[in-house]
Amino acid sequence: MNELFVIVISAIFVNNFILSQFLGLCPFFGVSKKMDSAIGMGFAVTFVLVMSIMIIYPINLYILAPLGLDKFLQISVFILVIAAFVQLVEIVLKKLSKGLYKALGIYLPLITTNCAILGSAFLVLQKNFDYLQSLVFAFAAGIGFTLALVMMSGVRERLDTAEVPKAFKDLPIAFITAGLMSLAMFGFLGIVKLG
Amino acid sequence: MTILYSTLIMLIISVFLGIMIAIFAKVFHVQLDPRIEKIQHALPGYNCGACGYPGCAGYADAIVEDKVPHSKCTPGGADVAAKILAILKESAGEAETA
Repeated sequence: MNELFVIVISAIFVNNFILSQFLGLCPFFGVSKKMDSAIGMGFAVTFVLVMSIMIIYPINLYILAPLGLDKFLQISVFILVIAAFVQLVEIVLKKLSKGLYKALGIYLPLITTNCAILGSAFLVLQKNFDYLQSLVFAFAAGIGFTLALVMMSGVRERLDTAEVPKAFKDLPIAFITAGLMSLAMFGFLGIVKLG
Repeated sequence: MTILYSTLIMLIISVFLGIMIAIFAKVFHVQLDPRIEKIQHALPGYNCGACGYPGCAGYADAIVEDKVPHSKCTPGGADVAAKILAILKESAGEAETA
């Protein structure tokens, strides 16, 4: 139980995917202009993360590793599974929420190549987590991703009305903001250590 | 042996995922306006973005859903604009008679 708590804290705050590990930066800048779409994107990524880890972990453990294929086939199998889940999310979202589907636009299919998801799959294997720990890690990583996206969108909604020098308007000031947020996140560094 | 196993595993996983996606696509099928597809065929398909939408599919969607002007396709010119107008008019007539 204690171990799981450490994983959650570590994935959300200490090793936040976006702000301390710099994974998955594309949607971080692309979809963080409005709070609603940021939340939608966060949950889409969290869903894909958890579901793909749920499938990837047993495939790796029971099929790839015993046959000795895990060294070179991992990446292709992982991407295949992730792409399938992204496709599912797209189909479901198109049916259930047309507005969110339009707001996410091209960033929804781009989850396929989001390195936060592929990265977490490899991190899980690297750290030798068991099945439950991996799922908790994936979920917490998704929550951390959502948290960073929501914080960023909150700041950017304010920045829209703020008086920013013309050269820094929109994206440049967002980059500077991201740098400052990342610095703030480094305050958590070293609080917990994963085994 | 390694090559055989890797090929087989990839094949099995892809077929399984493909079937899963096919089922989901059936369950969550969205009824689209048939005009969108017709307009998309009428457009040149360069995906140049001159109309201000992401690709020809995006523009076709916008014409039907958001009532955007039909003459924004620069590479298509007047020719394509006339075709799109014909599609829009034709289906409007159908809707009135039906």
